Amino acid sequence: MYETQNKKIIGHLAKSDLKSKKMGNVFIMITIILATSLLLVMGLFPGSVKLDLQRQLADAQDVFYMNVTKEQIRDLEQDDRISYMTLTKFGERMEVDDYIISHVYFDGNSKTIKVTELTEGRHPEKRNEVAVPKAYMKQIGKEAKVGTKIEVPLLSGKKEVCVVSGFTKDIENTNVYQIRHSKDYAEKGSTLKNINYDAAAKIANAKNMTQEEFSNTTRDIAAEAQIPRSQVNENNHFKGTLPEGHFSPEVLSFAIIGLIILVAGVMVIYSVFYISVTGKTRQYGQLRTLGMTKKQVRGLVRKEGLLLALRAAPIGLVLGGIISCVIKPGGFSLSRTLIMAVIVLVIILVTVLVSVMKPARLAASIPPIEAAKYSAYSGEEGKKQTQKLQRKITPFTLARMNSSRNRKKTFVTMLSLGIGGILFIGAVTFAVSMDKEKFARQGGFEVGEFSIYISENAAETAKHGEMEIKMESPFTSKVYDQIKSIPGVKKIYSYDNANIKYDYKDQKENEDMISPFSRKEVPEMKKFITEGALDYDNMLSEGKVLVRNNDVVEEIYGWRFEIGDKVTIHYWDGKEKTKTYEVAGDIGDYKAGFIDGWFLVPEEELAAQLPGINLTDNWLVSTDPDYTDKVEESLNQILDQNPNLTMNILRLHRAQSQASANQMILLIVAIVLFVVLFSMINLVNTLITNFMSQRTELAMLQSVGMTGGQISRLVMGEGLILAIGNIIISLIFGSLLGYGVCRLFAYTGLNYMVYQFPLAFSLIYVAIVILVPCVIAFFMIRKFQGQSLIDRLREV
Amino acid sequence: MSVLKTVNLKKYYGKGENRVKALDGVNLEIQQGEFVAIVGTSGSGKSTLLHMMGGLDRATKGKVYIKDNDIFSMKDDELTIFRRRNIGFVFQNYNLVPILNVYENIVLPMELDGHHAERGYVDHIIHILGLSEKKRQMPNQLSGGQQQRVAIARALATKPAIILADEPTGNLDSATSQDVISLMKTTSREFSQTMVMITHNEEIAQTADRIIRIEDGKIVRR
Repeated sequence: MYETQNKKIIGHLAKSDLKSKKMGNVFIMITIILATSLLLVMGLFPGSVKLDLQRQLADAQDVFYMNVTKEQIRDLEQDDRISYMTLTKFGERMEVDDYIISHVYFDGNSKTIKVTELTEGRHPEKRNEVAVPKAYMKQIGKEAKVGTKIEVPLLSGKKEVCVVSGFTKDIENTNVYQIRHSKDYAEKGSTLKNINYDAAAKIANAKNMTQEEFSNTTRDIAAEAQIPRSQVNENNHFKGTLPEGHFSPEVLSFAIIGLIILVAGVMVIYSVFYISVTGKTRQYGQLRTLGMTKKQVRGLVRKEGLLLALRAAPIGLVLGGIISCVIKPGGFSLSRTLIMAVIVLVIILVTVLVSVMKPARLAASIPPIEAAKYSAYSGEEGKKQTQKLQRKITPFTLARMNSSRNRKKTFVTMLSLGIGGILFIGAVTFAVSMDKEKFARQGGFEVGEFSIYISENAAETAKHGEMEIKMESPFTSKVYDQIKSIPGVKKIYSYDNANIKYDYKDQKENEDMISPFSRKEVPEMKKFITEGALDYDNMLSEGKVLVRNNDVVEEIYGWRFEIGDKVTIHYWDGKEKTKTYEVAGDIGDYKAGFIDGWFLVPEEELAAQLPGINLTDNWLVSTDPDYTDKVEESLNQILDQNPNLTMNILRLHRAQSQASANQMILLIVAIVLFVVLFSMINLVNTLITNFMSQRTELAMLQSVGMTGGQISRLVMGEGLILAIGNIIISLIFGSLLGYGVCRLFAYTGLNYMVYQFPLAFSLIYVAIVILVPCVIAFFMIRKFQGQSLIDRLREV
Repeated sequence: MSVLKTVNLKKYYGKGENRVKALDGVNLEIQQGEFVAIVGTSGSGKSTLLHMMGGLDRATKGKVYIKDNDIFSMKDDELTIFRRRNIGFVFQNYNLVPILNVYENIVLPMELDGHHAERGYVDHIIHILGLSEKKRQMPNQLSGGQQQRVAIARALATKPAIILADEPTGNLDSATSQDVISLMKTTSREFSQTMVMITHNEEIAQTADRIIRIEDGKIVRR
């Protein structure tokens, strides 16, 4: 009974105390609101992305069984592990002028696995009907109207007259147009009838599988239908949304970022409560003199903290929920949000309780009579005496003495401010270090702007494919000289590849490529070796071959090229011949983007097998940036005269890749702005609280003759000491964080992260951090001088 | 020679019916070297009068002249500078700066003025006030009486025209109070300082050269 009465009184005291100190509480509340919403957003984000993707993929296939025969289709249809299946055909792609068309068949009535929707008209039904994007009509100069007759070119050189039955959605930034045919055409039409169907399937209960279970299921189904492993094409986006069962770098980096934000939130909340409670020690002392026990004081401080947290946290949770919903509307789930909200609420409450524990103990432990006298300025950690009789006394030295009076508090404040800065500098380092140009140049444009290669059409129509074209290679010295002489062309990088077939394990005469390498490349290549060894002369004399990307091989075929095993290579140079090699080692993803095959041999070996053949596969043309546009025109003219050659242009590729890079940077910037806001609120709170608790002392100084200007300098000086500490912490640790992230990316093989110090952003940050204390000091001093000196002195 | 003069000094708080006349037309004059005690009951207006005389607060009406300077005609910063050069304060709660040692507290007004203290003079004051052993100590290491002696030393150090003391012994026990008062008398005589002291202790007031009694914002006996 007595106990309950007590609790009521403490609760009442806590409430009325909160009412009386509005300003400080507003800051604590804002801090808690921000921390809560930030934690909720960060907690929900990774899950929202996956959920969004899962929802987007809900009507996409889980797996493609490629190139399946009628019998295999029947087997698949009878397999009850497949919940839905639809058939498609992808015909050959062919180049027409500067664009590509591909003949396809989709079942327009498929609902569970959706196909590109029509914007107008209906799906093709008759053999001569097609659906095309409107952009294609524009490309061929026809009116975009249903019922229009168009001539569709075929690889054979002939043309077929078709009627447009409908229009498919335009795809941005592409020069590939799909000509969608009817089921009838897929069965009997000239370009599709000899091509097998691809079966797009959804796997029953796939959402509840791990990645490994999913792969096992898709592969078992294939094995039972006698479909080779290499024809199983899992939807990697879908697979990525499934739990991995182990830690991936992605999950790890999210966990690290989440942890940093959690620590930042805890630090900031700790710091605002620490400041607030130490500022009120005197008041608690008064309560102690009136008979409150230590336990009751601790209870009061805890209660105040909890009351504030319980008022602010729900606002933060709602705000966080709204933000999460806005940034990933497709990934919103009420149940997930509620669960995460409860977790965040518990974290915040625990943080608040921990944050007030120390200051509450401090407040309770001071003897009542001391506490009543206690102001934040009675020199808590004060020295007993000084070494020097008189130190230099100026507003700035006074500011410094003030800051070092409670080193721990100053340090905690600097650190909690610094965490915002560290995240900011770290994130902008990431943003500026992301070399957008390198990002765009990934996969083929690393050293040049134009990639010239053998036309797909030419290779498709030749009986022996690209090798037949290479027998009379379009990469002639004449064309080379022509390109070399274009003004602005700096260098032409040439890459050789031979098209071959190989026999290994279950693969018989599997089409692939083999690439030569020179003795000069060996030191560089040795860095890439992951298995086995590389000895140029030994390879040459013993007939050995290097393989690439054994991990990828395993993913596709389910086996690896084992060191010491024999692989038979079928060459063709007008007539077929074979040679068996021993596997010497795995060279990882050496020359990724330039060579595609699994095999590498010394150049002398390839020259011996395919004597006199120009194996050039690709010329990468590097240009002077000022002339790139002009070079493009000239190259187009040269290629017009060489129909077997075609090219990819960096300029076209760049637009696409930059859009995706910008999206990523935007997201980072948004999160960071949130954190910086958090940090700034904390800074403003610290400055104002410091100032408020110092008012009497400043009045005292003024009464003994300190002028307004001197007081301004003293207050600003203290703010600047915090600011400079913050800047140093932010720059050093933020740079380390940013550098670490760049290294991590480089380590995972993403070479577009090139560490750069974010100079402009750092300067902006420094300017803001320095400006804020000055502005706050200005306003506080103005407010302070409105009150008479004697009133301020009386507050002692 | 008059050092301080007030002319029809009025200070009102509030408006209309709630108006409180803290000072209601105070005229007084204090001569060079005088030791004056102002006495009165709580709420009589004695503290307000002292604050007006020291320029810590501005009057509703009337004037204060210190060494013939009309202090209310000065701007804030001008008044602050005038105050640190011409007026020494001794407060009931000492008002020492906790981060500065005893010596630094004493020379603070001069340092703020950009001057260096006259070492011999300051040491002399410190010696008389019995603080020689305490110069390097921080205020929180001192007793109340010692802290008040530091405050007195600070008030004397700038050789001001007048020292204003607001219940300087209010926080001290009676023995220490006697010590502090006799030190104040000694030093004011030694350095021929004018001293105005507020007190509600009649015994202490009796030691002054002159007693000014104030009631309801008016002087009742000089």
